[in-house]
Amino acid sequence: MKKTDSMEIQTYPLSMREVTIAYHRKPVLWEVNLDIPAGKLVGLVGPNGAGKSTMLKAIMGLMPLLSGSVHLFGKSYAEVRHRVAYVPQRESVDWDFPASVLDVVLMGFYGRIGWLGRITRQHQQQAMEALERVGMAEYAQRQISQLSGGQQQRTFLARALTQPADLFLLDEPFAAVDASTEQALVHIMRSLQQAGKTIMVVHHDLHTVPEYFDYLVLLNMRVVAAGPMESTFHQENLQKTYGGKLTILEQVSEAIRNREAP
Amino acid sequence: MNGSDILVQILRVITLQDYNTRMVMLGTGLLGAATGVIGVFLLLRKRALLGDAISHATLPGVCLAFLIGVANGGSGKSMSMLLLGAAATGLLGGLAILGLRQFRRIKEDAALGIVLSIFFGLGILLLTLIQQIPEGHAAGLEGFIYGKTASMIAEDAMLIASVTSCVLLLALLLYRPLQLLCFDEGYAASQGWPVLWLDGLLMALVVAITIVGLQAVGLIMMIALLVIPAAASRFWTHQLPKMLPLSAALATLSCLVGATISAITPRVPSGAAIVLIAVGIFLVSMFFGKARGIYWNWLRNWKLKSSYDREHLLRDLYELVELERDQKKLGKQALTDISIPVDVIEKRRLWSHGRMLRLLYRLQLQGLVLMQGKDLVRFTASGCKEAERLTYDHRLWELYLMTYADVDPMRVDRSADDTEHALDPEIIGSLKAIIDKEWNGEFPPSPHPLESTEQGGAKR
Repeated sequence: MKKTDSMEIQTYPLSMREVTIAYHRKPVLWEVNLDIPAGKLVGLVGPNGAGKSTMLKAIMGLMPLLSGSVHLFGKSYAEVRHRVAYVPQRESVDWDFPASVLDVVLMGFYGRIGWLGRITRQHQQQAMEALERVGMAEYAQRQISQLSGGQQQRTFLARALTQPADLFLLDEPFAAVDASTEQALVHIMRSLQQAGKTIMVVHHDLHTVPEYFDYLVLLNMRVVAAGPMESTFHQENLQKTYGGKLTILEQVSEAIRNREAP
Repeated sequence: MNGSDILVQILRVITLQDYNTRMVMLGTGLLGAATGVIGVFLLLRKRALLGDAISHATLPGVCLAFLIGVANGGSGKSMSMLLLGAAATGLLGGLAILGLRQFRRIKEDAALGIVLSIFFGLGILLLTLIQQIPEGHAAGLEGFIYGKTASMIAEDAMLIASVTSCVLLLALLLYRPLQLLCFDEGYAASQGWPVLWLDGLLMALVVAITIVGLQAVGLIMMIALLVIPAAASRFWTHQLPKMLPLSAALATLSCLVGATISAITPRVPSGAAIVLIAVGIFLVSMFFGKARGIYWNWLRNWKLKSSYDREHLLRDLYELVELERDQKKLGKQALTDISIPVDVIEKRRLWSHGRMLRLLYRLQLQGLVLMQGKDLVRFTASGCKEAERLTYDHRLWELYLMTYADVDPMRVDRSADDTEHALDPEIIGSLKAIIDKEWNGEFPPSPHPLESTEQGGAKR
């Protein structure tokens, strides 16, 4: 690696080099090279199965890399974990779990208080402030099994907001939420951005992409294009991402799988 | 044994007169508490059947330990050896499941089935072998399968008590990590919690509980004690901090009562007794549990439904009276004077005659209507007022739906019917503000022909 390159890596909140990931031997991400500048509101966009969620998981070290490296603020994820807040897909958990909204938000502190730490009144205060921000303060004591989809998403975002993070990773926060929740989420993301944070959001709806984000990563098993919204969001790139089958990559991926696991 | 002997025996057991009984009760009680707590986590992690596979996987270990003991010239009944054997194959079984799931693409349920049947089959095979040994003192081993608190001695109980106390302590110390693991594995991992190790720890706790529980509950019924109290406690509360002690208490109760039964009638396997008590508790919880019991649910629905019926009937009667008045051009005061035949109301609802009469008699008891014989009904003054309010709200809502939600006028009555009960005074207030402007505060007529209301066929 050239010296200038390593200098650059240190300045980026997120930097991926030659990252390849395979799931059950089937490659899902190919040689991803990506640098996300600080303070951007980034849309991570691509068709189903393009590897968007996988990419978030890889960034947090939840997926083994076949090759390549991921750096956050120039360091490994384990070193800067406290600077990253993750909002998983809300369908990834069972909302019938016996807990209140406040209980879930307080989970945002568990990473910091450690194995035997205690939740203090100050933590509760901060959790309530986070709930206030997402407009859920009055639901703090509500059982999570009674929440609507939008309220579930707000609860998850509130949990992330309790973390003093510089990079926020959101996995499909807009999936099946009501319009007012969508607006509230966008509003909060913008205020985070104004506070100098970097936000990366997996998103599905192409119509709202240019409106919500100012930086775009188009993904379909590889990074098709990445850059500022104005110069990246255009027909040709979208065509490359969505249009036509990604025949060659798809075929090679199939072939590898067939050969290795008959 | 005559009746008074039995009474004396029962008294001896429940007043804990001898040292052995006291220790056995203490041991099984603590076993219950620890099993109840671990069971909750196991259930929330959706790994309940893992406990079943582990407990079944202990059988070959018990048999092997016995055989090794006999081969070395002993009786083979050293408790610590037997439990050590149980722990070895139990752990092996658990690891086999995790391994199959992790590294081969076998789904969890299949992995569980495979491991459970292989280990248990092996155990049964060994047990048959043991029974053919001429010395033939294999009888004690059956206690491990069905549970036999009666054969427990104070030392066994001490072992149970110390292991379960450790398990209990560990589970409570690690309450937060375990809670997070059970609720949101992905987030836990992103926060740096060692998810794999936590799962392994949970499994180790299950193994520890299962091993010391073998004597009391038996390996077949162990899963019941892990799952049933935990599932029962969910019917009473929506909060984990309350679910844990409740599940522990229910499991302890089952264990103590079951052990008592087994102490009084030594031929009853304590495992069966304990589980039957637990099932009884579960059934009571399922029906009467405050948080989501069937009875409370049913009662809530019944109350809602009868309030809907009441509102519908009052409004039907009001609209019929109103129609009659307008057709005959009677004055406004006449509303309480007009009687309506019951079968005319009946045509507007798909209710049976019996249900209609029951509802009408209930309204009469509330002083809202007056029945004239069995066929005619009219309003009292207060009934008319109440019905007028309901009708007014209904029409506001209908008008709103038609004007602002583009609902078809011919269907608006039905959609309003289904939703209007949720309208609280605050919403009615804002509806009023919107609609009143168009009607200058007058009582709006029905926005659709009233005769047509029930022609949509069976919708209810």
